[in-house]
Amino acid sequence: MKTNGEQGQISIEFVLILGAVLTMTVVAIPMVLKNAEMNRGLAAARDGATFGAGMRGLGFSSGGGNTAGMVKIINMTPERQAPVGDLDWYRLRFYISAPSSLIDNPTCVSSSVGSTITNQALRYVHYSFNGEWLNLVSRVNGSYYSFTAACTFV
Amino acid sequence: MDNKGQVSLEAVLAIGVAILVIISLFNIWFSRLNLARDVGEAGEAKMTGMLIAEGINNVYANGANFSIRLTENEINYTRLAEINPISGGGMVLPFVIDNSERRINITKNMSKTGGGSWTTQVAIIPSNVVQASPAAEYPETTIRNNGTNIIVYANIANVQVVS
Repeated sequence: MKTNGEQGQISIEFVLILGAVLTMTVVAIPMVLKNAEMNRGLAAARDGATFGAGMRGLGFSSGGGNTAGMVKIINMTPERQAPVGDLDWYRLRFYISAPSSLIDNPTCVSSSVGSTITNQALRYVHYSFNGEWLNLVSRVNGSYYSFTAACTFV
Repeated sequence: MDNKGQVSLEAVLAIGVAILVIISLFNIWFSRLNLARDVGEAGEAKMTGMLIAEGINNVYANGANFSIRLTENEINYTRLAEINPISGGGMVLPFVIDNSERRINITKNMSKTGGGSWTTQVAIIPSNVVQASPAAEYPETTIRNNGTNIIVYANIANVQVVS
């Protein structure tokens, strides 16, 4: 038979462990949230760029050229820029492979394929942060990071 | 009593953490789901447009009195355009056959991935395509060369011809 004292002792040990875990969690929260925002932004940007590349590859566009061709995202790299206010600014650069028939401007971001892909990437980042869609997005600000997009034909 | 209480509290903590993780993944998960569905449906719409274009070109090339029928197995307009909670935005009917530009315009509804619509075109050879309502002899979707025109027998809500 257990006494009240034994029950109280175990309970205090558990409360101590729980307290330590809570303290560590509270200390780690800002770092976790910052990393989570970066991960969410990068994942959403990849999704949006893939969407844009897939639709352009099928010949679809929201205006302008409609030639089909193989459009692929070869790589995406986040390039750190000078901070914007309190936010760390990252420019997401997409390396795009597209047939010459689709490249209507050698400057990637000015071409219809490049602008579609970068805009879709930022639209998805905006949606993942704010839960609403915008048609044209040039910059997305989160709590810790600011994202823009650029591209290069490879 | 102590062990039971402890396990119960651990379970609550674990479930709480699991709920937080799942909720944090929801909006990326849904946007990926809609992305995949919309790109897939865009592909279906494009393939259907290409099927109609192929039919028109074949009928044109084979001369007078040649006809092709595309049954519901090949083209299901209802399925192409429908919007379900579990599907993407569907396509915007009708397929528009543009005689002057010699192409078929295909429009995809993007309401589930930010609204608006995206369009694409498929080229066709003839510029003398006309639309007619389906009849018993020529059910939807039949494409026929009468020697003068390429006639597409289809509901005008599904296939429209413009000059």
